[in-house]
Amino acid sequence: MAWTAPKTWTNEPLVATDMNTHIRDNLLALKEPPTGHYEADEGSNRTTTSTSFVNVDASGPDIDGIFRQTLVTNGGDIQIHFHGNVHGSAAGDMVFLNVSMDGAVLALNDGFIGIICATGTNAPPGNPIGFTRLITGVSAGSHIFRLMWKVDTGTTGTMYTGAGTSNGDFHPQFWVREVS
Amino acid sequence: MAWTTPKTWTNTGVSRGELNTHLRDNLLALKYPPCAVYAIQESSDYSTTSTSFADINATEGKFQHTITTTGDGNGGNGDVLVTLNATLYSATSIRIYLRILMDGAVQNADDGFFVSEDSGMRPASFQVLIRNVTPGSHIFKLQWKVSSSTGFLQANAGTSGRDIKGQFWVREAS
Amino acid sequence: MTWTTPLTWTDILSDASHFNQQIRDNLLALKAPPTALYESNEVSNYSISTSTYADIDTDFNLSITTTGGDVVIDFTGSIAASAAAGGLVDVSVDSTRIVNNTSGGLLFISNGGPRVYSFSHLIQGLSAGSHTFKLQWKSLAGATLTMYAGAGTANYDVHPRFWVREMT
Repeated sequence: MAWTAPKTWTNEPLVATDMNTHIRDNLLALKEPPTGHYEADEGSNRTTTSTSFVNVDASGPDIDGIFRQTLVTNGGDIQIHFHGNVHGSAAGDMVFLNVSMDGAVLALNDGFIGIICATGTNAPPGNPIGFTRLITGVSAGSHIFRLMWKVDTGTTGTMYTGAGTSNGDFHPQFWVREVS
Repeated sequence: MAWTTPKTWTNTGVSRGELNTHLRDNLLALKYPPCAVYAIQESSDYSTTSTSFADINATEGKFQHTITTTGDGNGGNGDVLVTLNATLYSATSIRIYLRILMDGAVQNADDGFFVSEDSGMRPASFQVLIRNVTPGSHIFKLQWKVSSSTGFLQANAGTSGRDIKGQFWVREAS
Repeated sequence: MTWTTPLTWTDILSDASHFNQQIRDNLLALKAPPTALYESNEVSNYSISTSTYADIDTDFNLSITTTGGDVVIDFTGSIAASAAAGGLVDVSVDSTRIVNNTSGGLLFISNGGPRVYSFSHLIQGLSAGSHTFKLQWKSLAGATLTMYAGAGTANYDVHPRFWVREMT
C-alpha cells in the first residue's frame, strides 16, 4: 500500500477519501511495508573466483526475487539482511560480502563484511557469515538491491544455497525491507 | 516527530488539533522512529589490547549513540534495536568480547554479549533487542576487550585485504 | 494491542468506537508489536553430542500471538565445537524446522571457537494466531557442541539471546 504524507487537518468536514488515504492506507502502509525476501533452495551451490565484487547472481539465474530484489519504496530507510554459509578452497581463504543499490556498491574496497575461512573446515559445510545493514534516506521510487561477493586471489568461494550438500544443506536468506 | 499516546475518542466533535496530534503526528512518529547510524570509516582500524571492557569509541555518533525514545506508545516502556555489522581481526588466536551499555549500565553482564575465539578475520554481526526502555533520552555504547595480544575492528581504513566498512546503529523498535 | 484491518471509510458520521478501534488501537498495535525474548544466564552451559535435532533448552521456546504478517527470528550466541565435524543450528516454527531436512540448518557450527553465530531470519506471511518458535541444534559425527550461557565459565561468561517479533 502506498504511503501518503499525513495531512495537516484544518477546520473542514471529514470526508471518506481523506479518512481512507490518511488513516486506512497509511496504517496499511506501516503494517505491510515494501519487502523483498529470498531463501535459497537451489539445485547447486554458488561459486566465484572473482577478486572484485560481482553479483552473487552472476553464478546462477539473474532473476529478480533471488539475490536481486526490486523494491518500490515510499522514501525513508531500508534494512538489508543476509545470513548464510560460505567456504574457500583452502584454509585461510577469504570471502567478502557487499550490496549494490541501483548499480552502485554501498561499501567500497572490501565491502560490508569479511571472513577468513577457518583452518580445517574448508570442505563442506563452511563458515557462517551475515550482516544487517541500514540504508537511510532512500528516495521514493523503484530500487534494485543485489548481493555481491568476492574472494582473495587463488580462492574459489562457495556459498551453500540449499543444494543438498551432505551436512551442508544450508538455505541462506537475503531480504530487503523498508523500515521507515 | 513526537509520539503522543493515542487518545480514547468520545462521541464529541473531532477537532483539527486532535487529528493532527493523534493521527498525523503519530503516523509520522511510526514512519520515522528515533534512529542513529555510524558508518564505520576511519583513517585507521580500531584496535585494543585491553583485557577489561573499554569503550571502542565513545564519540557521539560513532560507537556511542543517543536517541530519545517514546516507549510502547501507551505510557509504558518500549524496545530498542542495537545492530552491529562489523569484521574483527587478530593475527593470532585470541578471544575478542563485545558488550552493550545503556546509560552506563551494562546490558550483558560478565564477559558480555559474545566472545569470538579465533585468528584472522571473522564477522561480528548481530541485532540486540533491548526491552523495557523507558521513554526519554538514552545513550548506547559498544565496548570490547581481548584475552591477550591485539584485537582489531576493521574501519574501512585502507588495510589491504581487510578494508571493510561496517555499521553500528541504534533504532527505536517500538 | 489488537490490530484491526483498517476500515474503508464512507461519507457517514463516524462514531467514537470507530475512531478508537481504527486510530487509537491500530496505532498502538503498530507501536508495540508481539515480541518475545530470552537471554541466557544459566548455571551451566548448553551442550549436545547427539546427531538428532533437539531443542537447545525450553527457555529457547518462545511463543507470540501474531496479527498476520511477517515475523523476524533472531539469534546471537557464542558456540564451540570439539571436532571438525561440527554441528548445525535451526529453528522450528510450530513444530516444523525452517530447513526441513536432515543435512542442513540455518547455521553450521565449525570446529574450535567459540565463535559468534548470528542470524535474523524473516518469515513472511505467517498466519494470525499463536506460534511457537524453538531454537534447536544437533551434533555431527559425535562432535560436542557447547553454547556458553552466562554460566560463569572463566573467560566465556557470555549471554546468548534469542528473540522473535512480528514485523508487520
